[in-house]
Amino acid sequence: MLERVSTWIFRHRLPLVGFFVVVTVIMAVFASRLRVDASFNKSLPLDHPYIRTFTKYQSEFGGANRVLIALMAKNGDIFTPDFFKQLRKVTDETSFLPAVDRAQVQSLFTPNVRYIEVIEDGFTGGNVIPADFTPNAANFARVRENILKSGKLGQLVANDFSGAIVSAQLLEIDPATGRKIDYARVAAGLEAIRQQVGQESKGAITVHIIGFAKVIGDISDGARGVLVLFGVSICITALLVWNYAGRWKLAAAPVVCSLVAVVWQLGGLTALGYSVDPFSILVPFLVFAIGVSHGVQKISMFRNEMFKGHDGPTAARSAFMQLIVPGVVALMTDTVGFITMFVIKIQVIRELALIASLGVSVIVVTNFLLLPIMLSYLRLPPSYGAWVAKRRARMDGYWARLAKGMRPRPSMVIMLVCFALGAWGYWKAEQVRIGDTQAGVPELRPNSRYNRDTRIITSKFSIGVDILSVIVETVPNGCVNYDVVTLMDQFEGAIRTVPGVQSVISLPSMAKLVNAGYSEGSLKWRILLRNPSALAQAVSPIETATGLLNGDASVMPIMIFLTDHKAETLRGVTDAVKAFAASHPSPQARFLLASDNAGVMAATNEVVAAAQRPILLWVFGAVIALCLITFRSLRATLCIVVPLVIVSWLAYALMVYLGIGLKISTLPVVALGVGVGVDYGIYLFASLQSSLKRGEFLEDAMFQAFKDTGAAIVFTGLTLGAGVSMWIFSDLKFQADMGLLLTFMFLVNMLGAIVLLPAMARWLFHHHCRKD
Amino acid sequence: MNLSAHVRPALLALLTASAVQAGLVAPRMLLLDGAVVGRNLIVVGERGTILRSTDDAHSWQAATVPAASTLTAVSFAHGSTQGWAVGHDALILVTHDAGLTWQKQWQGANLTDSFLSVLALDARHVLAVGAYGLFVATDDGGKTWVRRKVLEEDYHLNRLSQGPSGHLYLAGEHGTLLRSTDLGAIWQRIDSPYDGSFYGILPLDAHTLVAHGLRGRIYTSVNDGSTWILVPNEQHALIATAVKLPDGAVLFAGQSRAWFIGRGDAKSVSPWPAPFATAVAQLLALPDGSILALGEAGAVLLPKP
Repeated sequence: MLERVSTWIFRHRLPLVGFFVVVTVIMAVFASRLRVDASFNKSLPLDHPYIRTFTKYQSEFGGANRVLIALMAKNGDIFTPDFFKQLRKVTDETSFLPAVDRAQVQSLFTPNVRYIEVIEDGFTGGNVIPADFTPNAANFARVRENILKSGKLGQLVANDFSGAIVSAQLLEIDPATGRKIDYARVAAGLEAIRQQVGQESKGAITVHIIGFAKVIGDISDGARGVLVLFGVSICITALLVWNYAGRWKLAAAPVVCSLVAVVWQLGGLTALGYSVDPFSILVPFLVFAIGVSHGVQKISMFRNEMFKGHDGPTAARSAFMQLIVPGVVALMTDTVGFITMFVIKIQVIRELALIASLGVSVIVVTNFLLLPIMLSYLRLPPSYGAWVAKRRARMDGYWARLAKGMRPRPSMVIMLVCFALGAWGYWKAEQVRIGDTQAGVPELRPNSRYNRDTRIITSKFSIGVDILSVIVETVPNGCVNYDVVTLMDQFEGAIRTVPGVQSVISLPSMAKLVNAGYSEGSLKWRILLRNPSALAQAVSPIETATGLLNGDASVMPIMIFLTDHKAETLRGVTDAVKAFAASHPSPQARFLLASDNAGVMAATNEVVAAAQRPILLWVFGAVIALCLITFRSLRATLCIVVPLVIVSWLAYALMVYLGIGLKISTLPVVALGVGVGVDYGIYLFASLQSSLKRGEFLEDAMFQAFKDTGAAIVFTGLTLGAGVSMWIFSDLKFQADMGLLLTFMFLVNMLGAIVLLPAMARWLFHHHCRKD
Repeated sequence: MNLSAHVRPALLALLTASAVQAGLVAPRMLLLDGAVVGRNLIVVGERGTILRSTDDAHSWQAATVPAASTLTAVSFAHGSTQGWAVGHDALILVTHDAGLTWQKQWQGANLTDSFLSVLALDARHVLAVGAYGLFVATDDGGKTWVRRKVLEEDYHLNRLSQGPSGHLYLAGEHGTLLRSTDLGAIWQRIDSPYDGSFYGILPLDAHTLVAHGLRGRIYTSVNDGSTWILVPNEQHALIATAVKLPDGAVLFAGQSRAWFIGRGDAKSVSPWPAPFATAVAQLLALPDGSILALGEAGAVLLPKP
């Protein structure tokens, strides 16, 4: 059967090459239309009850899609003619950004920002910057006074008057074009404003921008930047292959093949209507690295056949025949790692798993069809054989020393050291934190422009960026139902005492403020009035645009501002919310978790914490089953799996040391590392076992196994490491974290396979050893 | 042996510290009034909050309170552990143990009535006033509360105070200023210099009074209120509270950032650097000379001015 297939393939070499060229060109055209989509809906655990609440009310209250543009005076305060000129200009330009709701733009210059003053017979008020404003000292003093009266200090003006904010609300449908909001265009417009102010003020005014649109813009840019890193990693890999193969022609074959696989994969994605997100954009790296490392084995086999005196086509065909079964099996073990990721009920992870599996199946096609065909056209000079032999002799020296070194005593030392490391890793691994610890947007680096802007704005203004909203489902017109608003007020009182809660904003708390305002601003009147018409009067100024109630006031979110989004903080708040809801059952009001960024994080943390153990059980279960089936030996399985377990614990310990939390991006790392890392042990042990079966002593079998597979294992580890280590330089924090951890897993698993595995085998297969 | 002598107390301290820690409350809710009772401090505020401090406002414990209505004022009989807290929902609470535990003593039939101030003259005589001319008094320690009218109009009565001469003062809406020379039986109108709201009269001595209120208004009188002199003040913010400092100066606060200090019987005032940016309902002079500000930010201890 295999014979017939290979005969057919090599008989139709030319048409097949033509077929590959045509398909690759088509796929390249598709791939060039690839979209980078940074929308975060895919990264939500849609099954989670919090997220069900979130998605249910997203269209109603997701409207709080704000952008804040802060102008900061480098020296002194905002009361200079230049600053006011720039602030006015930025206010105007912000109004004309795409998708901006012009009526909702707020700054000191917009007419919707007013001050109100209590006088003897009621209220008086006006614009903070009067219509007849001219920049002079007296007018600046007046504006300063008005800012204090407007209550916008801390909101639109920095608490120390060193800056001012222009706030804009973005609409899901751009009113100018009638189309869905294009975040890239909004983000570009915001950057243009930043540039212009910087130039015109000659650096005296700096601009800091935060908001969902900017996050999306920066993440898309970061994800695109990864493509440059992809280029670098291709070059490094090509150099590694060249070093291994010794000839450019030979080295080019697996690299070109793997690139073809990547083009097919990306083209296939576009053709199937997918777009890549910041997660799946990493898959081409992996696919490329896996493709090259497997391709190299084919080179190795091919040149062995060549040296036996076969011509190109025969050698290629023979290599194909010998490698198709173990190669496909090895690629399947990689897929095991990907498939276990389906345990996590988050679409972005599942798509990552799916796309990676797709990539691996493309590799099967390119590596077992295209690569042998390409190799069959190669002619290798006789001098090449000598070069390979010389090099092999040098390598064999190292391997012989390593195999000889595995005497009882040193191997015991190696085992003890590794087990001690494993125990230490296990103890440390318990301290891995769930979720994010860094301030700002966790997807971006702590010192990224966006997160620096966030720090400046949160330190200079009274603006919180970590918000968890509780949605209160109540009766129509619940906002004027005294029992409902009082219960919400009690809820607020209970939540305010939870550690990590900075402030709470809700309809009742706003209504209390309004009521005090009606009572000359006296704090003693910050209450909810029992009289329905008086309550209605206090509630009526609160518009739906505040996001605190829906059209018929049957749903009212309570916004909880947190000091940070650490997992413990989120846990404390969600527990307190659940406890309050349980102890205050009401037919009129249900308190539902959760919305806004911290609400989504709380849900994600819960999902990640719940998936942590299952994903490890699945991946190790699969690997153990695979080893048991392949080798039918418990000892062999132990030799292969124990190093993997130790390295996994060490990876967790590394996370603890680097302050990397367990989250959507880092959860699959161990599964990937184990799924791909098990290959090393399988190659080595397959060779070892076949020698032992022939009745050889362990020492000789070990040396033979190292000679056969050692170089390929080291090479595979280096290629995979080179592929993923480039992610470390990504602008996106989670890609860098993944890259670091995967590089660690790939390289240290390789070391585990060539150091710990033989040491363990020395003891577990004691009965095969030479008797001294 | 030396070691265990050190370790045991340390362990004990650790254990008791964690036990005490459990009852601690951060005073971060809206607080509206407070009182000094011997070595204890009692503060009251939103949603039935009553907190107690025994270490000069450094740490606070929640008292047991049988109500969730916002409490606006608290007062203790001089030298007694008996005190009253009043608030919205026409509620009067009483304590007999210096504020540790509280019981509901009286609640008006109409829950929309609101008390805004209370004054305990002694363990038997207590007055409480509030919105729309609400006035109730007891002369049996609260067994019976009698409601009556001391003002024809339904104006808010904002604050009761007592001078060293024993005279009582009442400040309220629409320029309302009242005085009683017989411990609250008869109230006479004082000629008002202003038709906006007053939020309190602070007696400095038997004849010298300071009245404060809406729009930064401060008036002084050297003849127990017969005539008033306006104290010039440029900032037009509500002044909700005033307190006499140990050196004789008067500190005023109210709306956010509206802090003033008055010198020489408050004949002139100047802005005082605001220690924080939120509104204040009450300033309280502590026995050690420091000032406790109660308001939006909760209880904030100010350094000695």
